[in-house]
Amino acid sequence: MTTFVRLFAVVMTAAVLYAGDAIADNSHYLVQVDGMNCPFCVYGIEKQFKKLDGVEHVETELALGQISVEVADGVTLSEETVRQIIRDAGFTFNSMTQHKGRHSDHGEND
Amino acid sequence: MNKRCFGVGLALIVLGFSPGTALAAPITFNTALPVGKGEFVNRELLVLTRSGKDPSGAERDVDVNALVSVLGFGISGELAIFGLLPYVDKELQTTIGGTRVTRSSGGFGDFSVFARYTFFKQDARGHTFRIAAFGGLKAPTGEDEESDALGRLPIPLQSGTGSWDAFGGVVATHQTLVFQVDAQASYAAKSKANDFEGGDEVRLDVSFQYRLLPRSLGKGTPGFLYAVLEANVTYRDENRVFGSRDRNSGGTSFFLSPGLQYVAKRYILEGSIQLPVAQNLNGDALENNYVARIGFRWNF
Repeated sequence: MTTFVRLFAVVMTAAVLYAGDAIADNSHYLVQVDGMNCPFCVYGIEKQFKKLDGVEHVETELALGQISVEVADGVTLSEETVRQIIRDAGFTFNSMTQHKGRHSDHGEND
Repeated sequence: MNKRCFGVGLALIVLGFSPGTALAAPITFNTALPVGKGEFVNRELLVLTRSGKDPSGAERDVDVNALVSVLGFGISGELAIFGLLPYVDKELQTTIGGTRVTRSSGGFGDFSVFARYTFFKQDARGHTFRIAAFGGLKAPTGEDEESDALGRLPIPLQSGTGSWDAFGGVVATHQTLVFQVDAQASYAAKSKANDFEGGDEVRLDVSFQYRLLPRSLGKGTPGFLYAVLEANVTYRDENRVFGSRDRNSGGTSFFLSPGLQYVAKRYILEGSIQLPVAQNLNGDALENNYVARIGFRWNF
C-alpha cells in the first residue's frame, strides 16, 4: 500500500511539473492594431494569423484593438510577419509584445 | 405609353443596383473600409421597389424585385475588385383605353465590375478615417430584346439595358467603436443602345450607423447591432429616345433610409426601407413609393 502511495505521489508530481513546463514554454503575443473597429473587420486578420505554422489560438479584444496570438513551444513570430498581415488586412500595425504562458493565464488585459 | 415608361424604369434600376460593396457599411451605397488581401466577401441583397402615384392618368404601377449578388476580392489592403450581378423581375401595370394591361420581364440583368482603391487612411486605436475612389463598368449582359403580345418591351422594362455604362466616385468613411459615418459622391455616365440613352446620374449619399448593442463593450469580439439612417440625393438627366430628349424622365430625388444591421465576425444581416422625402421629377415620370432592402454579407 505504502509503495502504491509513493508511486502515486511521484506520478502526480511529475504530471504537475510537466504541466507547469508546458504552460511556461507556451507563449503568446499581444498585437496592437489601429483602425480595427468592427467585428466583420476582425475575421480576416484572425484567419491570416491562424494560417501561420505553430499558431494555436487567436483571439481579439475589439475594445482594446488587441489581438492575442498563442504559439506552440519554440515558435516565434517576427514583427515583420505581423506587420505584413496587418497591412494586407488594410489596417495599421501599432505594436507587439511577447508574453510567457497562455493569454488566459494573464487575466483579461494581460 | 412607351415614352412614359422610359422615365419610370431608369429610376428604379438606379436606386436598386447602385454599386454598393460587401463590407460592414452603408446599406444603399459604398464604403471605404477594406477587404483584406486574398479575402472574399459576398453580399446577397433582395431589393423590392414599388412605384406609383402616376401623374399621367394612365394609372401606372411598377414593381421591380431584384436579387443582387456581389462578390468582392481583396488584391491588397488598399485595392479591391467587385463584381455585381442582379436577377430582376419587373412588372408594369397600366390602363390603356380603359383596359388594365400588364407587361413584365424577368432574368439576369447587366453585370457590373468595379475597383476601389483607398488612397488616404488615418488609423488610431478605436478610430479610422479613410477615403477611397472607385470606378467601373456595367456591361450589357442582360436580355434587352424581350417582347410580349404588345411588342418589344421598352428598355427600362427589359432585364438588361443593352448599353455599356461607366460609373465612378469617391467615398469617405469615419468609423469608431460606437458609430460610423460614410459619405459618397458618384457619377454614372450612360451610353446609347437600341436608340435609347439613359440620362447621366449624379448621386450624393450619407450614412450614419450607431451601435445599439452591446451597450458597453466587454471581452472578446461580440456582434454589433447598429441602427442605420441613410440619406440619398440623386439627380438624373433626361433620357434620350431616338436622339430626342424624353421630357418625362429624369429629375431630382431625395430619400431617407432607416434600417438595422447586425454585424458579426463572419456575417452581416441587414434591412432598410428607403422612403421618398422629395421627388422633383420631370413631366410624367413615375415616382418611387419605397425601396425595401433585406440581405446578408459573409466573408470567406
